[in-house]
Amino acid sequence: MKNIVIGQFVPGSGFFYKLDPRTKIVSIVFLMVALFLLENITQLLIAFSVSVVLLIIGRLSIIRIIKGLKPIFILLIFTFLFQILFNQEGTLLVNQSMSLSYSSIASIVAITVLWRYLAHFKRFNFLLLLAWIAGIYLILSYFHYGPTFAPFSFKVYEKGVEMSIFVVIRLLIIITLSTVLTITTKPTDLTQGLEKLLRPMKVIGMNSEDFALIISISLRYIPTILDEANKIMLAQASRGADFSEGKLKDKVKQVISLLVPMFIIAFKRSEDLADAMESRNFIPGKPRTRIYELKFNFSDLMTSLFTAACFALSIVLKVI
Amino acid sequence: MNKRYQIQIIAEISILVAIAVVFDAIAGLFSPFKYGGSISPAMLPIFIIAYRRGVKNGLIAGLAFGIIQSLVAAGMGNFWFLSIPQYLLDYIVPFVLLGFAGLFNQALTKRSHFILGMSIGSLLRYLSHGFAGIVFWKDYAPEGMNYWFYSFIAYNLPYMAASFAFCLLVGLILFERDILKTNLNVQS
Repeated sequence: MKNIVIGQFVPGSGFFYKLDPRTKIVSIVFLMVALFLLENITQLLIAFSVSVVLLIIGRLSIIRIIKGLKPIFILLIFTFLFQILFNQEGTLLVNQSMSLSYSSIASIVAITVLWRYLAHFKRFNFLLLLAWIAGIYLILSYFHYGPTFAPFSFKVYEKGVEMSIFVVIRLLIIITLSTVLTITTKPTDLTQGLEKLLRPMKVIGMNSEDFALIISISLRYIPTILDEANKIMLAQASRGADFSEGKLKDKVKQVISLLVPMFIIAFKRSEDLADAMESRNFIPGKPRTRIYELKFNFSDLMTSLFTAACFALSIVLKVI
Repeated sequence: MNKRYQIQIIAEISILVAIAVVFDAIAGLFSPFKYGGSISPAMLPIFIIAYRRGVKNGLIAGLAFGIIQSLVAAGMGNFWFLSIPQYLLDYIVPFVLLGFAGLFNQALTKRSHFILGMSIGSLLRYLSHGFAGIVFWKDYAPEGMNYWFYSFIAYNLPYMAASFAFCLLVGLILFERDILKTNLNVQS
């Protein structure tokens, strides 16, 4: 069984690592709101270059950020195509007449098969996807032998291109910002920061300290419990259970043989944990002491000022 | 003894949330769906908290699970982030709503309450996922498909129904064996 990776934290020592998690969380929320106030591409491009400069200042590897973008890549491409195809405002830029024919259908099938085959090698996936899209475009426009049917025209409008670039850049900046937060902050620090920020919630009866404690204990126990699940699986396997094969009914049976013991152990363990906490005189809701206290220092001040400036600027731009 | 009771609740929520996260990760490895959503028993521990310790603690457990689960999703590279409202509606609210299963406060003794609570919790989670789909993901519905249909039926229903059935099955086994009442001493 693979290990669970919690968060995207990567140890390092740049500018962002030294910041207080509270500063980082608040700044990122404000910067995102500011981002949604921007209205045209020029402003967004400036924001984009600012975020690249931030990455360079923080000495974060841009390749790592791009890797973090991977799951959202399909989304980006889809958004881009969607905007280009369906936004029909502004002047017409491209008007390409297209149609289907037997030869083009056959070659589309052929290049799709070729693309999926090449994708098995798991290299240059993105270039392959682009090549596939370009191939379909060329085939639909020019590759006709024999009778053609279902003619239609492929139109791209100025506004469509503009909007697609706009939306994609905005998504890129949002993801870059949130990746900076998760790469440079340990999950435990993140919880501690949230705990301090959520303290005012006490008014509505939510105790942020206890909540942060719950999250930290959970994070601490996930590897332990994963280990235990592994052990139980091995124990059941030695009694003849097979978790990967069999009919659905057998599979369900075997998974249940894993889940039931896990619950029993969980109740036992939580009782032990409660005993341990009580014997160390833990009192719910009372302030706790920590080895590492959060400190608000000069770089936090600079970051806050920078965020405030960005936010003010975007409001000014919006009003003008 | 009130202090002891509170400590017990904190410990229980922590451990059961951790178990939920582990369940989810194990289930994710065998998931038949490509883009998010898996048949997972992860809701079950949250329901159990809600049944044992009431709605409020159920909601807290759901919130904790949502936060940790999104961290794990980010670590595994399966995290869909567009904006903060989208994050809340996709990753936090659905799991918080699971806590409302605890409205049926006799769930640990009456089988009908046990089933009803789970149904209510699952239904609320399903609705929340469905609305997230309509608000944030409607552009991604396949062409020609109504986006209400896409979000509520095509995308969210299969895995939610399967997860619900699975949780109910395992839950009933635990219920019949009286495991869920372990250490459940009344507040004294």
